[in-house]
Parts: sequence; structure tokens; C-alpha cells
Amino acid sequence: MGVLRKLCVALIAASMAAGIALAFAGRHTLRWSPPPFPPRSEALPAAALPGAGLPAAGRRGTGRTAGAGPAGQAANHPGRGSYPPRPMARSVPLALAIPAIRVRAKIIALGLRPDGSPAVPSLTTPFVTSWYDPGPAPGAPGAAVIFGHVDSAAVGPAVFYDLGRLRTGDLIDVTLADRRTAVFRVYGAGLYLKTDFPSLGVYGYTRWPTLRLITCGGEFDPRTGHYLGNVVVFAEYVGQGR
Amino acid sequence: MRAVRRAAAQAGLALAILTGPALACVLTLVSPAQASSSPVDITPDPSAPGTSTTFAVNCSSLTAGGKATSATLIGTTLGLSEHIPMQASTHANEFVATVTLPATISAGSYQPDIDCSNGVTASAALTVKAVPGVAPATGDGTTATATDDRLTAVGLGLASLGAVSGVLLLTRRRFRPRPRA
Repeated sequence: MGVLRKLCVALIAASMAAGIALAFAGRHTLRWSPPPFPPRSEALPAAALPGAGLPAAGRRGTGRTAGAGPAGQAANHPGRGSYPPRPMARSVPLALAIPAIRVRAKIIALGLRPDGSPAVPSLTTPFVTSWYDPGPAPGAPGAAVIFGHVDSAAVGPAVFYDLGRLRTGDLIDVTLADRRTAVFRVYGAGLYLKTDFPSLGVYGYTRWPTLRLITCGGEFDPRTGHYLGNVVVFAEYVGQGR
Repeated sequence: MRAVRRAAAQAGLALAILTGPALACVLTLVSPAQASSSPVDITPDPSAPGTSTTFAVNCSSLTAGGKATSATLIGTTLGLSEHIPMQASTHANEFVATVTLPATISAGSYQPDIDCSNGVTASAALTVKAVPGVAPATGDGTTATATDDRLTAVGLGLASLGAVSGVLLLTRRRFRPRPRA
């Protein structure tokens, strides 16, 4: 009898201790890990410079004209696929697909807020992205910009939570209203302080069609309710999908 | 400088009216070319503060006749230097200049003049559109701040279960001898 009682007391004490430990841990562990962000090596320092942020003409020339053909093809005998694809006419983007991070999302067209920041979808629709419609359309010359939320209280991780995992070479498909698909290839990704946001590198004109995907990232400041930075993914047009 | 040129043109017009119909004809045909803005191509249009913008001018004109050997972009209205020399392009009579607009230029329409050496003056119609100056707010910090409330609930449940059973055990021990006595 005495042994049983001692065992009960020990069990109760253990469960209380475990419970208190769990409750403490629950208050001090994050339910989700903070959003990922690209390493410094992927960032484009030139993105902060005026008119930069576009793939250099030389890169396009060597990458596509010489290297695009099948291996072993004579350099003086370029095939049809050796020429860069023609930019597309302006058409409103409707949907986005990024297989590398398993994103499929609707795109809505939004402009500017009175405070000068771009409008973004409501936090109640955290899986919808928005295209900055005063700017160029994806596939047309210039830099098209698409925003998405990183997280939302309603769901936790939102549509662009994994944006910071994209790396050079990953592909992005944008479906346009005219039923064509513009395909882009990532050529850089960076985490930038909001106070140092590379506006010109992001929105600045590029002769070749480019795309920028933007979400929030870096440290979160609970007092202001805002992240301190933005994750920006830079991509270049590589042609039309099927 | 332009005021002087305009005055000279006006004087020339007056002179033409006085001197004869042939010269007057030439000068009145020159003036439509000066007013026209179509011979200038701007890329990109609209442009943005701080970005590089290319002006391409076609100095050809039915009336000015001669081939232009150079052209100058008057950059003062854009906050740039007054005389920006333009480079001859591969097309005949076409000149090109790429400038970086000041980051401080305000949004709006600008009409910088371009003077060709053959006497043609073209007016470019440049639209400057501001880019968003404020970074977007895309997220509410849920994944960066939300603590695991499920874990807390389970822990609190376990602790209170232990507390209740502990109280039960203690009270049972205290009351058990009574019925026997």
C-alpha cells in the first residue's frame, strides 16, 4: 500500500513537472520556423544601382546565342533556338506557378496606396498574389513586379513563405490573359532592408523582359507589426511556355 | 541661348516677309518641323527617376535639306547639363543620347529640346513616372512570432491533471481512517 501510494505521488509529480515544462516550451518555441531568406551569395549588389538589375547584354549574348544550341553544334551554324525569344505584347497576368517551391497562385492587378507603397492582397486571402499594374506586364520589356504575403495569422505560412528558397536557375511560369505563358529564370535573390529597398533595381526599366517576386522577410518587429526587410527574387524572360 | 535663336528666327521671318516670297516659303516650312515632337523616340516611355533614358532623334527634314553632322540634347529642363552631345547612330541623320535622369526629378511631363546641326529643332515629349518609394508590407509576422499554443495547452492540461489527482490522493488518505473508527 505504501509503495503504491509512493508510486502514485511520483507519477503525479512527474506529470505536473512535464506539463509545466511543456507549457513553458509552448510559450517559447515558434510554431513555424521563421521564413527562409536567400544567402548573400545570391544577392545582386547591383540591384541597388540605377537602371541595373537586368541581365547584362553580354551574358544574354554568350548564354543564348552561343550556348543555347545542342552540344557540338558549330558556333558558326546557329540553329533556330539560338536566338533570344521575342518579348511578348502586354497582357494582364492571371496565374503564377513556381514548381521549385510548389507554388500555384492567382494574380490580381493592383496599383499604389496613398502612402506610396504598392497595394498588396488582403491578409484574409493569403494565397493570392498581386501584380503591380502601373508597371510592365510579365513578358513585355521592362520589369514586371509581383507581390505575395509571407505569412498571415489565418493560415501561418502564406503564398510566398518559401520565396527565399529560390535559387539561380529556378523557373517561374506566368499565365497571361491571352492564354500564353511567359517563362522566367531566376538570376538572383536577395534580402534587403526596407529602409534600403532597391526601388530602381526592382522597378527600373530593363530592355529585356524581367520579373521580380517580392515578399517580406528578415527580422520581425512586433512593435510596428512589420518585417524589417524584403526578399526580392530577380528573374529574366526565357520564352513562352506551351 | 534659345531665346536668342528664337529672336533670330523671328527676325529672319520678318526679313523674309520683307525680302521676298521664296525665302518666306523656306522659313514657314521650317517652323512646322520645330513644333513637331514626332522625330524623337524615347526609351523607356514612361521613364522613372534615376533610370537611364535614351533619346533618339531623326534630324531629317524636308525643308532643312542638309544632312546634320551633330545633335545636342538640351538637358536643363531635366536637371542635367545644358548641352548633351548625341552620338550618330547607324541610321542616317539619326542621333542618340542615353542619360540618367536625376533621382530627384519629379513625376510629370518634360519637353527637352534637341538641336540638330542642320537647323532642325525637335522637342521630345518625356513622361516621368515615379516608382513606389515605400517597400511593400507583405505579412503579419505570424511565422516569426506565433508561439505554439497547442503545446502550451497540452502542458497546462497535464499539469492540472497532476494537480487534481494529487489533491484527490492526499484527501483520500486523510479521510480513509474515518469510516473505520
